[in-house]
Amino acid sequence: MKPTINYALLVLLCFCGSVNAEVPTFTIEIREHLFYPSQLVIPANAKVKLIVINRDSTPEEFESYELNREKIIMGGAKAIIFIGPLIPGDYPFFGEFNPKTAQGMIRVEN
Amino acid sequence: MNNYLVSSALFLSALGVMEAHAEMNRVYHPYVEQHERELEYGFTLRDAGDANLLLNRAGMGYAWNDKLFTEFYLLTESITHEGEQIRGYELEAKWQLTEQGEYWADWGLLLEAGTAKDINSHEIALGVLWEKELASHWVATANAIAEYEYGSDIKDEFETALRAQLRYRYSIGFEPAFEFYLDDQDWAAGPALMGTVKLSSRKQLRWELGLLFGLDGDTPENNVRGGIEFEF
Repeated sequence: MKPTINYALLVLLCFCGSVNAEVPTFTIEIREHLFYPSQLVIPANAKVKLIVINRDSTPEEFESYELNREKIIMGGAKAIIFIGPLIPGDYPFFGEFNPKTAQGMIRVEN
Repeated sequence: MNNYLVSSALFLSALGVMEAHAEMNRVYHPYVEQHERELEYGFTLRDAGDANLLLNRAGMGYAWNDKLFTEFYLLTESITHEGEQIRGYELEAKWQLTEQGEYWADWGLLLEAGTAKDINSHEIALGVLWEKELASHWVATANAIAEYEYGSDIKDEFETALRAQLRYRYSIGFEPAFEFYLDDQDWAAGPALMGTVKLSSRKQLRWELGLLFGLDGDTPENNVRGGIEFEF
């Protein structure tokens, strides 16, 4: 028996609080395999909610290693993606189904 | 949600008085990517360089939507508490409970049901999956797992296990990490490397390789774990 596991479980699982106050919300649309707008400026050090609306009939995936996000948006549907808080800088993203055309950038500014 | 998670914490803590057994095979992340299909091979080499016990698993999985992923495993070798090597099958379902980044941490649930091929041995497990994105590219992940084993050929018992990983997101193809695996059979920790190789649009290989060193006398000194997943 290794009782340390008990304490580790308790410590881990008690970190279950959440903070989800109103966050700034931005909308990105996908049309003809392009992101509109392709560049979005968001505030630094703040959580941001992105609403990604896919106006195409085919699915697309919002993907960004820099933002640590991957999210499928089915044709004619929308998805919600939370990003941040981020330090100032440029964070590229692309559509994995159409990576040559569907490209964009999140610019984080103070 | 919070009340549920607090209840889960208390439940799992109560189970912590019991024995635990789990393989040192991976740390689960609480995310599901809609409609993703996956073929997987993984192994754990226990006591590398000495007894060389190789445990294999092969699986195929599918994400039915953006919340639920299921995977079926063929365990070509598994191990009982008595050290007996057996073959078996396992079905796994993973639920993504919270949207990534929405709350202070991200949460998921893991449900596993397994059975042995050659002996009367079954198991069902419930795991809480937790991940927190830290500053400066660091990501912390932990799994708390409660399992019940039963069958006429084994001793019925509850078990618990904890797995944890601290990962540095250096690049998509190379992410170093440090991992802990704690259960009643093994206390092990060590470094790991992982990454993703993009093959084409919607096709990629994820790989992981880890060295796990026993932290007590009951755990083999040197263990190697690895896995490769083809996602499409």
